[in-house]
Amino acid sequence: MRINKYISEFMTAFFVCTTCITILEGILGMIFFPEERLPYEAFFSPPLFGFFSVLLGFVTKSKKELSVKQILFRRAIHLLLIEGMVFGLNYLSDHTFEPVVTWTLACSIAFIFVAVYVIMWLNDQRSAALFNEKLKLYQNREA
Amino acid sequence: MKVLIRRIPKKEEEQVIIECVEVNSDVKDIRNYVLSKGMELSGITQDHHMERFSLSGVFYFEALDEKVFAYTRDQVYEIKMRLYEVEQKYADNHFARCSKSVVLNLMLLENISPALNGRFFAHMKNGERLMISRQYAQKMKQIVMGGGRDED
Repeated sequence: MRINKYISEFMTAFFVCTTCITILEGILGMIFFPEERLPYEAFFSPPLFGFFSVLLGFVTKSKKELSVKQILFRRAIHLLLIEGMVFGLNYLSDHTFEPVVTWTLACSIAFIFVAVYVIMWLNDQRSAALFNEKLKLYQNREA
Repeated sequence: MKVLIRRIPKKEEEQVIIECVEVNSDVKDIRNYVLSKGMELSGITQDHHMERFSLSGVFYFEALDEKVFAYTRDQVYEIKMRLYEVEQKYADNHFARCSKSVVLNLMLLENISPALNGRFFAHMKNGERLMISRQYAQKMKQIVMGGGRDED
């Protein structure tokens, strides 16, 4: 049950991430490289970045109950690792950007990072609302 | 089903006897209800007095420094049990583990809300807020939403 839960969380984060990266690549491409045409291999880039981004989330995992400060610190490290991974992979494949593109990309990655957590939090919020509804029924039934 | 109430002089000899053809879920529910209503625990208060208190009035049990404490609306009692024993013994009385160190009373749980760290907060009816671990959130959901306990 526990492993299933982890896999389910991983997959949710992966799909949300991949969707956001696809949209981001589309928008940034249209703005900064409108004349460029990409090969079919480019379709693998969003899921690849999505997979590695979620995989780097290991830094946020802990068996101990973390405080809010510790969580925020670990999430900041997670974001830095993702930024490093994206720019590192681009550098290794001979893609270097002008400063304005670099900053836009860095900010966009941070935006996606926050968006993924907000979407997952909203998902938890929905799950909590459903639990609360059933809790009232449970309490009435068992009282 | 017939109900018979007979008055007796001594409180210690109070008992409920269920006579049935088959021990079905209704009978089990009646048994659990009686157990939860009548159940009392002994605990040591903060000013070192031994007192008895009702299990249904306990909001949660917490393990701290090898000791287990029971929290009621206005008192904290140290009890002579391990947390896993509390979890097992009072599972039928609507108590469920919500983290490594806490077993809470589902009947006195107001609601839950998501926390920043992917876990959940349990808001108790006395205004206290407890943390629900991911691992135990799933089991709590099974009890409340599935109508049964996880036997894993």
